[in-house]
Amino acid sequence: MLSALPTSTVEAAHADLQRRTLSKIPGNFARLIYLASTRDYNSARYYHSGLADRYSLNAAEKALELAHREVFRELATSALADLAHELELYMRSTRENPSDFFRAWQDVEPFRVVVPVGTHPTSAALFISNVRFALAVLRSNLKSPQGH
Amino acid sequence: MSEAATIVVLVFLAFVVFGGLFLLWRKPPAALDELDERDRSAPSAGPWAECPHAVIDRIFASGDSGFVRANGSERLCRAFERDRRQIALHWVWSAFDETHRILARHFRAVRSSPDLSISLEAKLVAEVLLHQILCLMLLAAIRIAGPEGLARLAGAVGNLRHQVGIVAEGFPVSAGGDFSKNSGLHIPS
Repeated sequence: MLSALPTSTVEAAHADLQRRTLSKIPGNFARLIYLASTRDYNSARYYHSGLADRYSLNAAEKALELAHREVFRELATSALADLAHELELYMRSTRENPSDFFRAWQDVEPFRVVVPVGTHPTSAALFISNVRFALAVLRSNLKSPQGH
Repeated sequence: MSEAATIVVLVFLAFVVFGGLFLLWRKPPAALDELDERDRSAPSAGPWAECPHAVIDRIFASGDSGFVRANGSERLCRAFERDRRQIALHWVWSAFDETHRILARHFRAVRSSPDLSISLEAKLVAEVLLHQILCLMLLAAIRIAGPEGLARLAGAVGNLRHQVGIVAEGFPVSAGGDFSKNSGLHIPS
């Protein structure tokens, strides 16, 4: 169904999404969380009302899926130090108390649900492992600040 | 080299390969059950699904452990190394299994083909053999020293795995037949 869409429409929707929304979100981790939040938990379909109004429901869905995959790929293949930096940026943007943030993220592991559907299992495992260790490092730095 | 010496070398090599197979034919202790489950259920993991090269490079890169060492405790470093080792082992085993499945599916498909090309078949078998031997070497190296610094060998395995996929896909449809038939594979339309 989605593959029948004209590529130009999806590309236009994707560019629009980048320009109007993603470029205003600070950091790739925050973008990943945002894009994953546009995906329905039950159907795994993406939805964005503004984008769907301007293009079409399917073009918006495909554009969101593409952007989600791109941001995920970038984070999954980035160095652990860079991922930790992105995570720290995201944590600061939430304005949550850092101790509460780390406790919640280490206990609930919400980053597990931000993996795009169909991601290669090794990519998903690497990403989840890296986020766990980035959290552990950031948390230990919070207890004994030394800067990195 | 005399003929007898060649045979001895070949027999020795066969022993080494089968010995390696025997010693290594064991999944990692905690074989990332969760990963195995995902392997089976990943919707886009089609017959020739491959792990992206950038991900392989990252698994075998050396910078990440330095970051953990500089910022974390000794316990965290050990946990990180164990985790990376398991991910690396899992990737190599999945590449090994998948390549084996490609060859098995291919042989099933071409068994009754009238236009069988011996040279193409030989090329595929040679590439699969080389891939499997490199996988065994990589498995042994990861078990002994961990994945760090093995990026080149892992890259070679990834390239060969890609090559095997291309060669297997390159066979004519009449020879290839329906790979999904009786294989339990679901190919999305």
